[in-house]
Amino acid sequence: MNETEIRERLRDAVGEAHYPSALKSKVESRLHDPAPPGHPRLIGLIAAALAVIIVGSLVFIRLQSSTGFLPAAHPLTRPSTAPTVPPSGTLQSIGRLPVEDLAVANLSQAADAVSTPDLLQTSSGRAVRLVGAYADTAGIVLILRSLPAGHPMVQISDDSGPINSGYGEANGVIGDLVVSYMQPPRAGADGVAHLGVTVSNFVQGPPGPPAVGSANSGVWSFSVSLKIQPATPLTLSPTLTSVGSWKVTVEKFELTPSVVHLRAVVDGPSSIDVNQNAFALLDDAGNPINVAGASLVPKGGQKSTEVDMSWGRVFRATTYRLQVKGGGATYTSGPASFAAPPTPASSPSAKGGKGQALTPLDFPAAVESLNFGDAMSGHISTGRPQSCGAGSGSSGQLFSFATYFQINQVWYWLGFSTDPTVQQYHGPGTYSVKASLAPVSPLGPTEPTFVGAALLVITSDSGLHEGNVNGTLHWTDDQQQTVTVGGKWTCMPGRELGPA
Amino acid sequence: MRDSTGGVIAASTQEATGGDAAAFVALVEPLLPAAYRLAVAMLRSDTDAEDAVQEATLKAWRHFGRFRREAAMKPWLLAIVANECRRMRRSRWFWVIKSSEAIDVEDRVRPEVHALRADLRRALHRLPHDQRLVVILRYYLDLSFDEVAEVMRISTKAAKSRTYRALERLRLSPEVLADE
Repeated sequence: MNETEIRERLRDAVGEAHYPSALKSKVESRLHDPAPPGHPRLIGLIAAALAVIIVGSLVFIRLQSSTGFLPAAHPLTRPSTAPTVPPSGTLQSIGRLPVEDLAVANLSQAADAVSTPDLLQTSSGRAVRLVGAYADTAGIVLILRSLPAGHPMVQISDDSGPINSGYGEANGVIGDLVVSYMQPPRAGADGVAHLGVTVSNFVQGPPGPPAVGSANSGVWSFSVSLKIQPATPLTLSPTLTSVGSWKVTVEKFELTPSVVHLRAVVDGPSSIDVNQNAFALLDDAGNPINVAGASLVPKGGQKSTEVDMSWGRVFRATTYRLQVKGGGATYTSGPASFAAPPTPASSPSAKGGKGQALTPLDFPAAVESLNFGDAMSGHISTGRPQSCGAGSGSSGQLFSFATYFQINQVWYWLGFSTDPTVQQYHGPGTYSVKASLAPVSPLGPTEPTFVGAALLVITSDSGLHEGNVNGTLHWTDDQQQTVTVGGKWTCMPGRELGPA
Repeated sequence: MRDSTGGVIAASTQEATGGDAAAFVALVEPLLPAAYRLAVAMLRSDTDAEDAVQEATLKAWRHFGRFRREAAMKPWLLAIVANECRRMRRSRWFWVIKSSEAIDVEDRVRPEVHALRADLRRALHRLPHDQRLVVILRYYLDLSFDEVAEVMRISTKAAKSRTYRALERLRLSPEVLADE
């Protein structure tokens, strides 16, 4: 790409700045009246002091403190005047991925090891975004985002060729598909895995063989470089070499940032007689830990089976035992102790100190009656308002309301805000507002995935704030995909809105 | 005073304005479009950009005494605007979602065009401040690398390498950066 093309792409993306003819006179006025009124820092302080209404969470402040810098000026009463959405560009990957996506990928406690390439490709009318990618010595996880929901074919290759293992799918937040491969990538010469990801045959509807001609003909290709997260080898005692008539060769038994991983070859029985139920990982109470992935593949003849199993890692101090049942016997390893892994400073689990993140449940419940339609369907009767109320900013008076809510056991964040550049907030009434809908990351709302407009009716902006709303939001990657929202909202502002 | 749009101000500083605000405005007026353009690109908001330019101009006026008479005024003012933009982004005591991603008519017809634009726009605003600034100065304001270096108070070589790194992160890797 030459510089002219770069210039054109950039200008196209940023858009044209239309110089306001009144700016010169505003500058003149500012110089003639250099007193504090226009000074944003003082505005912030004055507004904060006056902000008896704007209420919110500590998310932004704590997030800022966890990412190494504090705002030059922040409110006098920061717990009660917290922001709703942090500015983009200040979040680490942990703040960009929805908690549900991380959970189904067994990456809740390894979120900061997940890369967020955020690559968008559009083909045959469908937009597909690669929002997350992770690799360790046990496998690869990709998080794809596309609407309407469906099931594509996903092929991965690295510098050494195609990665041929099977893969599993799970749904995260709306539009997100978590694809897990049971084979690790191979590192390139620079020690990093260079993956080519090809998505094709996107079929809407449930998994299964698609009807002829029903698959989208588009092809979406991505390139991403990933660090392969290292693993800690684990020792089996007594050494596992056989179980009854089975000969077992353990190639790997290790702890990755997300799973406990076993790779072994079983010789002796027919591959048909070796199934994943023969292998279990038990916790300190003797309970089996959930299997995260299993691949059993005949190797060579019919009497040799390559076993690749992984179990979701338990993030507390515990002991594990590996149990193998087969060949007429049972092998159980001695208890192996694993210290709870260190909690990253940015981890949401680091509660109780600086950098601690809030979850929606940290906010008091409130009665809501909101109906959602189109891409997101359902009704909510309660929410967890994060902020609401009126306040003043550099552009004047505004009103905003934002709440966390749960649909189909998945958390989202919904926010409405008047636009003071269009209309100053002047008390209860009906306003055209900007609306945003975002998944929830471990650190708070991610960037909105739906944005749009709504009519916000505010019937009360003192005491219990309440009113109605009706609007339509569009998917940021595809304007054809929409979510409608309508109904009644309430919010009780005050310090109690956020945790003490 | 010879060329206030980027050339050397031969006789500026306090004697040019005599502490007179109107004279100072006359001096900076030709630079305001560039300053505003920079602020819009950095802040993604017309109203915030106006605020930033006003604040930056006020600061420039207050510190005009420190302005070196042999220096070019444009990079000096743009540097102040850039600092003001950074300060504004950091000092928000609340953050309201800005729907600055307005879709124009063409984008509605060609959603893939909007998607590409939005993707690049998002990527641009995820860059660290200095990388975003260097890209905007070079490709949105059409400054030479020497001017970019002057605004950012770094060497021309550093400006080029910072530009290259930023473009790589935007996946706009250039074949060769123009040598000036």
